[in-house]
Amino acid sequence: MGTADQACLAAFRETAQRFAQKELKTRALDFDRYPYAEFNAGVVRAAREVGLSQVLLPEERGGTCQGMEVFSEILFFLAEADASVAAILLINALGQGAILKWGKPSLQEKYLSADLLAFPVYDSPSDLPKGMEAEKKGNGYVLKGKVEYLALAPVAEAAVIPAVLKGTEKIAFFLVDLNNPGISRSAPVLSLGLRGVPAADLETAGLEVPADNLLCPDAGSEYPGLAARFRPAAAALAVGVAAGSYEAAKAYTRERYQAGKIIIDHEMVRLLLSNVAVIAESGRTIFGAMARAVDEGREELLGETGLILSTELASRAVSDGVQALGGYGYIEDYGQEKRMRDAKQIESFFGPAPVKRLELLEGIIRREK
Amino acid sequence: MSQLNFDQDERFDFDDNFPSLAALAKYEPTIVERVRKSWEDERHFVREHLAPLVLSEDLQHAQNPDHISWEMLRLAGRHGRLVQYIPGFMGGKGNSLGISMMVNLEEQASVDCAFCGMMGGHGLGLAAVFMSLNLGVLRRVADRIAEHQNDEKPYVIDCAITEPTAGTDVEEVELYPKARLMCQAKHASGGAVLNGRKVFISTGHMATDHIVIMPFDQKNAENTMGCFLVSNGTPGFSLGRMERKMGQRAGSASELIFDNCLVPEENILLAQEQFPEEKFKQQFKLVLHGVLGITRTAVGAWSTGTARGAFDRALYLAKRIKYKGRTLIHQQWAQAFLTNMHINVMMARGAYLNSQFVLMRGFERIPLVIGFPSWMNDSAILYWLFRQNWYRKFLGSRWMHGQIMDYVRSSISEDQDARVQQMSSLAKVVGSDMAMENCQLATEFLGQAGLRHDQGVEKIFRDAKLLQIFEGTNQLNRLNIFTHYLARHIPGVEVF
Repeated sequence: MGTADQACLAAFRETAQRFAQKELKTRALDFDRYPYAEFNAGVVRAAREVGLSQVLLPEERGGTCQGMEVFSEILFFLAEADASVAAILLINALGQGAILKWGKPSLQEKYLSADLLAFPVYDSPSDLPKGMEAEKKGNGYVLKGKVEYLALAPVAEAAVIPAVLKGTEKIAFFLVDLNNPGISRSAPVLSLGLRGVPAADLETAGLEVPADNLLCPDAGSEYPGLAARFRPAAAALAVGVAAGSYEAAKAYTRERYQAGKIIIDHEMVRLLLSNVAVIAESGRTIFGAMARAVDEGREELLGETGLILSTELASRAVSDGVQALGGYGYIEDYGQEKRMRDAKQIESFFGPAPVKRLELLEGIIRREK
Repeated sequence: MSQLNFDQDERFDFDDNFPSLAALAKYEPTIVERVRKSWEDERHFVREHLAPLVLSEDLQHAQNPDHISWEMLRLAGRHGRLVQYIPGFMGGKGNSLGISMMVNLEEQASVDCAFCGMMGGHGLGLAAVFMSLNLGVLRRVADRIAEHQNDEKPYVIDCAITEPTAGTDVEEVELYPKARLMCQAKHASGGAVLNGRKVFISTGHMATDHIVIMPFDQKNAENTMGCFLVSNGTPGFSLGRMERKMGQRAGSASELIFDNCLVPEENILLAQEQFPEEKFKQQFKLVLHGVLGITRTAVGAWSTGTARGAFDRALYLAKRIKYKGRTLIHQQWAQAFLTNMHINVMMARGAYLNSQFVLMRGFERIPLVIGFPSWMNDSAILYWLFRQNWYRKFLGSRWMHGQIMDYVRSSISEDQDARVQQMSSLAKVVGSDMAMENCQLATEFLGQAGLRHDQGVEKIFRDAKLLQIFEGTNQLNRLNIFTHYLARHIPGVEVF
């Protein structure tokens, strides 16, 4: 997987733009009513049909073997219209990434073609939760305990979940089939943002899984590497939301009057718009560079810093995107309030924002030792 | 069903929350004691009675956007919250809009910002009725509130100012000439006819009567303003859509539609043209400034409570969430976040208390603002008089109205008005910015717990944003501080 060639990148960009325009733009608000409206399984399927969701998979697994640059670019354009659908692709791809990296061929065969995979995207890679325990039994394992706030759990076929290996300090990743009656899913949890991305708590009093379903016995040390590869995609999601907010704010402030002037002609409004413009415009270069570094196998601090910068700036800027519309920003009609919620939700991908900052410094200090 | 829980935090008592107020006790112990008692009563109410409803009500709004929080309004009615700010002789509890209202608002908002929004719509209506100084209508409204506070659907009012194409512009008298107004009243036999649409009217779908503000002449709005009471069921009046807001859903945001709606004479609270004397020219500005002085300070207090609500939840959860095996509360970085949030609360509180003191100085002759004297609450003669028809008529007469307007006008100097304008805008801006900031911080440092509805943080995040937008956007309020305060000392400066 090397750098994407320009023609290929342009083709995916066009597909993503067209898809966003046709499938997402007018329906984003409806998808956002989940769990009080249907999950938009149809759109997820449609994204797969036009080739947007399997791009990271190798060809023999039905993918197009693209890199992070292409994937991030796709997510950016989808997120501009509806961050939830973009986030679904990202979370599902993380699940696929885990199976591809650690799963036996039989497991790959079975689950890489699954409609959706749940994945603990809100957990910090260096601080995976310990609510679930796995005990060796015969040829397999028995899982007991709880996994909280697992993204896509209500709608996915299978889930990648962390569990402490009994008798050790290590946290492993297991693949569990969510259709197994031994595991129960809570009612969907209502979230601040990304409401189109269902999340739920999982609980089991004793779920037997085959030994092959142990994906990675030491996720605590191996998962950070996989998560690092997906940072550009998460950044692209945040920047996409900011870009959507920026366009909507510009369009609105060009039409409305206040104090006898078009709103955008007020300097205070321009200052608000500039806050959104800064991240919406420069963010594309940042996540692009992050993605190329991943595709070329370069380990750069830009991965950590770029994710912090784009998610934090975007989540603050979209609040100004609401402000520019005044009362109309606060109601659902213009989509601005949804973007404000979505950006804040995205900020907690891979752990709370300050934890990402602490980890950045920990990494720097470790490397400089 | 999840609900808000609290740790026993008796350490954060009145003196911890209001150390500067406690200093006053040495000089004027009765005020401080009254405020403390009322605050303790409010704290008990919001924690024991309101808290169990907060998350379930909000969830019902998420399930059904047309849901109306009658249960919450009934709770307010049953606990006397709808008559709080009406003097005793009119049948109310007699807590004037003084320090007590401000610190109680903070307490309410710390548990549910949206409940404050619901109460705020009603309160704004009351403030408009009070400031219109029309005692005849005030008397009728006060009677109805008291009479129906225990009803299935308690009687509340609202205040309609904002129009579809004029939000910020109708918050400032100076901006009226440039506003794109669509509402206009017309004199007619027996009263006035209203036309146009009002939007984002808080509590609109809950109110029985609506206090509506619109000019008789759009082109000369600032000198022809009228204030009207329109009852549900009046021909030509209808409720339009209920907005789907990000948060603050307990109080509906409603559209009010007027299509040749006839308002009878006795429901015209104020028609500026009835007072053509030169001295009354600035009356509307004075009324609006007076209302905004109080309401912006109140939004400051409400915002402070919201900032504190975010802090309270964050503190509660920080004692329960772990990072790398250690509870957050024991970690330095988490303590830094919590301390920043606490500092934000204290700054916001300082701003609204300061503004309240400026109000008390600026409006010192107006009992509503500084506290009703005991004779207004306890006098049996006044209570009896108020219920006599001839006295009611006398109170509602144009002559009496003029006398009171005269009294109020002569009570407020231009300098005091400017200080009130500055401080109330400042309280509103600092408070709401701190509220939003604390929500950002809480969501950031709690991670998942900050995102789930059942933990009560994400709701505050959604509720808080409105505070920066209504009662004049924070942008307008910043300009207001410059125009009304700083510009006075900068000769020739151009203002916006």
